[in-house]
Amino acid sequence: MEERIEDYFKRQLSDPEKEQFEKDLKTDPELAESVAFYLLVKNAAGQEARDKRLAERHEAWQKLPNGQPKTISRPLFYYAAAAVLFIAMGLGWYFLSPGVQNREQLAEHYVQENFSTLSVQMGGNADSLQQVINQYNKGNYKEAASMVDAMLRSDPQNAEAQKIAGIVSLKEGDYDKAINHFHQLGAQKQLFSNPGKFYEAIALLQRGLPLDKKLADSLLREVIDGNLEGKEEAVKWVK
Amino acid sequence: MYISVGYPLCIMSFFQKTISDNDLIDGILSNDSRRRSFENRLYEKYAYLIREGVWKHRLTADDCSMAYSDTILTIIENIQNGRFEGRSGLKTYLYQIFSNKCVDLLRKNATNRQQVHHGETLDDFINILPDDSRSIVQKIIDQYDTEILYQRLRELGDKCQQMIKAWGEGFMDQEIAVEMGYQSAAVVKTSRLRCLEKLKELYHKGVKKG
Repeated sequence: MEERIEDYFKRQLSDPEKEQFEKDLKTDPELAESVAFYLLVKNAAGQEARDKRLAERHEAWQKLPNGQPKTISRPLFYYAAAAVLFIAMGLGWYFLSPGVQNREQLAEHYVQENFSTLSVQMGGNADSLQQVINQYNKGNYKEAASMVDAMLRSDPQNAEAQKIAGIVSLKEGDYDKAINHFHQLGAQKQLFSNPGKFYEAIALLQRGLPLDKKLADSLLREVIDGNLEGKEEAVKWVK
Repeated sequence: MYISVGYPLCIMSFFQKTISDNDLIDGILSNDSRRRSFENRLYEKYAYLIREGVWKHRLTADDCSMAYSDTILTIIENIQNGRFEGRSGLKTYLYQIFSNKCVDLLRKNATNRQQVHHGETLDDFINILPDDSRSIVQKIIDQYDTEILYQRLRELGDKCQQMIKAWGEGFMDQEIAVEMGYQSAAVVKTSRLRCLEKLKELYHKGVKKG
């Protein structure tokens, strides 16, 4: 079996070697056959080991007290339903009543307070940025988004544009896009003041996928440890 | 109707705290002894899907139970290797995989033939290939009979078998060298490739004879 097959899949070939390999693969049926066999055996061997592991785990899971679905008696079901309703009402009262805000609420509050309108000084003297801000402040988010996207296509390193693009996406509810913009902003090292990481944490908190809270938490800590823009809020939020 | 007079309900388990998906994910990602307990909690949390699978896919309870275990193992693996990014809820993700596994099982039962398993690992590797070669390699793979391949793998010498299985499971050559007493990772690599060559010869010889 040719060693370069393995090196290719481990991405250990140099560019010219890789190019040659791919060229040979097109013209050499024996090489194609060897590649197919290599991949098939790797998968089959892994699968056999996995089947064994699955059989072991399956057996262990069958012994768990709650491993099998159970049926419950009708009266108990009603008692349980009443208890659940009672608890849900209690929890609803606890969480919906005004009190200590959680991080998601704080993020929402921050967005409302700070991103409702953007200051016209924000972009310095750049005319096109001013136009984007004007559109944003008028509530024309789609227009603002397309203008700022066009700016970023010609100048991807424009930090101010990156920031506004993120804010616009956040307002539009396109959290994936906002996170991407803020992440790129946060990665810029040469800026005097960079809110990228703090804003990315806000966008993650607003998106609210299972791992987002954890990621936001680690970003907020980075903001605090690195004394970055947003530190004041971050300190309050991670308390 | 799911409610019926059946097994007595264990009061303790009834009052057991329902664990959140985030806690489950954190627990499964932890490296301590608690990990196994979180994996078990994940299994228990959605075990009611087995009954749904029996009803919806008309599979036997045993088949569905195995498909569910397979699903849970897949989820655990995907959480641990970062393939599960949390873009959907854990339940949605689990339900999708479980449904696919049930459908696979139905197809397998219908054709009564073990198909080439196109696991994510295989797809990942195939996707590294350029587009024009991908279909050629895929076509060759589809022509192989995995049952015969497993048989030939078992006919290989113990050392070769052990080495190929460890490699398939994702162990590094360095780890295999330590485990099997080889001098270095390079020796393992050479020996392993030689074993693969031997297996290939064995496979083709057997198929031609057959």
